[in-house]
Amino acid sequence: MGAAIVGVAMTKPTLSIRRRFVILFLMLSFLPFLAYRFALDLHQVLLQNQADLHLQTVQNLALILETRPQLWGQTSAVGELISHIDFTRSSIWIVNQQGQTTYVMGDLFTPQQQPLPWTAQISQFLIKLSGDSFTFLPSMKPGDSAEKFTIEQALNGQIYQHYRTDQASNPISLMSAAPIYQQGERVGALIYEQTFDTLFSHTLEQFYHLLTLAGFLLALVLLGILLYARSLSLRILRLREDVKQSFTPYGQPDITKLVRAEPYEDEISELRRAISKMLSRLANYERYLKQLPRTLRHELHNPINRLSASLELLEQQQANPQLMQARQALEQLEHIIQQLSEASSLEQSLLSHRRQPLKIVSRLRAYFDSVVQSQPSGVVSAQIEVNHPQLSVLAEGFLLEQLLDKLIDNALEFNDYRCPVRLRLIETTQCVLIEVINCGPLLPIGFEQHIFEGMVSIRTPDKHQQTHLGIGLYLAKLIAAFHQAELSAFNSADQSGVCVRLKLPIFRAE
Amino acid sequence: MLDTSTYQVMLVEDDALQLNNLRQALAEPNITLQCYTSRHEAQQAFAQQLPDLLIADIILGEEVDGGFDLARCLQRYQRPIPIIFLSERQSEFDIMTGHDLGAIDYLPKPVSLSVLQRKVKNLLKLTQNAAAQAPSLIQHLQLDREKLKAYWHQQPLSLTVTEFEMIEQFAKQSPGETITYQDLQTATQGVVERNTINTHICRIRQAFKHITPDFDRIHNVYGRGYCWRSDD
Repeated sequence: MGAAIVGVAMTKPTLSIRRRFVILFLMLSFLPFLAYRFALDLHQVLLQNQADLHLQTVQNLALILETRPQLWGQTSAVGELISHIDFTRSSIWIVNQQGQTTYVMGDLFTPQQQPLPWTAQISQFLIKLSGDSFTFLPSMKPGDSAEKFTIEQALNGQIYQHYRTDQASNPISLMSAAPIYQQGERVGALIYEQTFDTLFSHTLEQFYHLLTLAGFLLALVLLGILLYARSLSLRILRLREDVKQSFTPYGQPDITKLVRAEPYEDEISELRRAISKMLSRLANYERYLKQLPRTLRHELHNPINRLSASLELLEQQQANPQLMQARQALEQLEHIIQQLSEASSLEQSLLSHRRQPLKIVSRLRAYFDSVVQSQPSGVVSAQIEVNHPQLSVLAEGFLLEQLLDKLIDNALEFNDYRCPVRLRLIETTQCVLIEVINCGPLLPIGFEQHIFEGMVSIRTPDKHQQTHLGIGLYLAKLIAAFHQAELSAFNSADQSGVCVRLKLPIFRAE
Repeated sequence: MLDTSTYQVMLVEDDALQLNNLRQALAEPNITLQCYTSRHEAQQAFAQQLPDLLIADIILGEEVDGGFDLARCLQRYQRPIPIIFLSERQSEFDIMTGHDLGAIDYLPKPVSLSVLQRKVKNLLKLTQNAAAQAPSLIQHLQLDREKLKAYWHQQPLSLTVTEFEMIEQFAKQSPGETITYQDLQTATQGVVERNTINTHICRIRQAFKHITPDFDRIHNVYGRGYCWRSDD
């Protein structure tokens, strides 16, 4: 219903769709980090495998030299064995037991011929960004000390592997060394050194390439999800706003905002159409309901006028108690018809009124006094609890009094006289509360706001002197809506009766 | 001294039975009644002779604004002929339209025949107004009983005769005193009733607001009536 008509809505902490989308997106945002972590781990495994392979190569070579010593002099046969080794970026040395190099093959320092493709470079760059991409490598030693240490280990009979590093501790090559035996006796060591980039580049290039591609795909998917979620969220928000604005301040349906087109044909556009259709039917029904009293009144007015005039002429000719009864019945009928069209008359009348700053305390003090004086002593009591007697609200004073008239009529009608009907004016920080409290039958739980609907009477009044159409509080609701005030009803805390509360915002001049 | 002239009163009502009742009620020796059931017939009669008073329904047959159209036609003769509208249509817009078209009063249907008789006699000066013209006790409010006009800050208020009779009750009382529903009902010869009184009060307030937009002097007195409050 309209902006501030009625009711204290049940407010539960809700998680909006937009917030859910944000949370989902944040969760999805972890995916790249997880993928990155996975890539680092995979990178490490690959490096480790390559290093193991490297070590196995040097072991195999040492074993071959031990079991087939004749190969020492057969260069071509050796070449076949080590043909898979790229000697442009690696070398093999043989060192005797005294530490002297007796044989060298290959060149470590041939410049790399082909740089990595850009797709691989991106991933390589990103992997290196982590800063710890090589820290797991064992035994990193700078320059010559690595070489010396490795050879010593091999000459002592141990298979050993060592990374040579530059001054910045970046690995530049991997050395694997194995002792060489001849008839059970250690005769030297075989060292196989390969530059770091060639060692891993071939395997890693594919990995880096794949990684970049996966990264791009992931980014695209995330971007797609983000855009789609944003679009969905905006459309849902727009629909919500349009539905909110589909009611005038007096709660009448107005579907002009809802009929605008959605950019896509999907469930949301179907939902928009369904709501629009539903509201349109509701509007038609409401128009019919509002038209009904007027039509009824118009159709009834001719026979009633004839009846009234005829009765009056008869009354002038003769005095008859039956005529008096007929007159009373006619007046009752007129009263009912008048009440039926009172709501639509008030709605029309409200259009010509405007609100202005009103000093509420003095106005209500006088009004409350008049109410207290109008009733026998003790039936009504008034309380004004304000700190600022000059405070103002935006209101039409006379209409506000009319609204309170309806609330007081209602309170007196349902009052069981166990306690006085209490009228209270309370100041809070942002608004003033006007309360009308009576002892009497309680409102059924969950139906508190229904009493403001027209033609609704959910409590049985103690006395039923007049026709009760349940229009009074509906009119009060219309006037409250005009004042952009909240009108609510609830059972009092001690369950002795009902409190109807009007909440008006305080007006503060700029 | 009673007036001995003869007056022409035109009655326009599409319902023949109601027209007959009105004719019976208004039959007086010095009143000549012209009765019509349609706007067309009434307009033709204007060409023969203009009435001294027109009493018309607003909805005439199929014409929802037939009475208003008739009043517009009468305006073309440029004679200040008083009009009383009888209608169940009581919206502010309708009363305003009627007033703008020269309606001196706008009586809600079903109308009390005795009230109508009294109104007609008063308007045609068939009876002498017994009530002496009381001065207004409200500052800036002047009443002209002769012309049935009220003035607020020297500017005429747009009121029907019934509303003039209501505001006269306020002017008779000192500010702050309560004007009861009964006072207003009596003053208007029962035209306003408890359930319609508020519509009239709202109309009166609007008339004041047209001259002084911040007008807020008429206050509600719960269960009893209204009062006029001077500035605090």
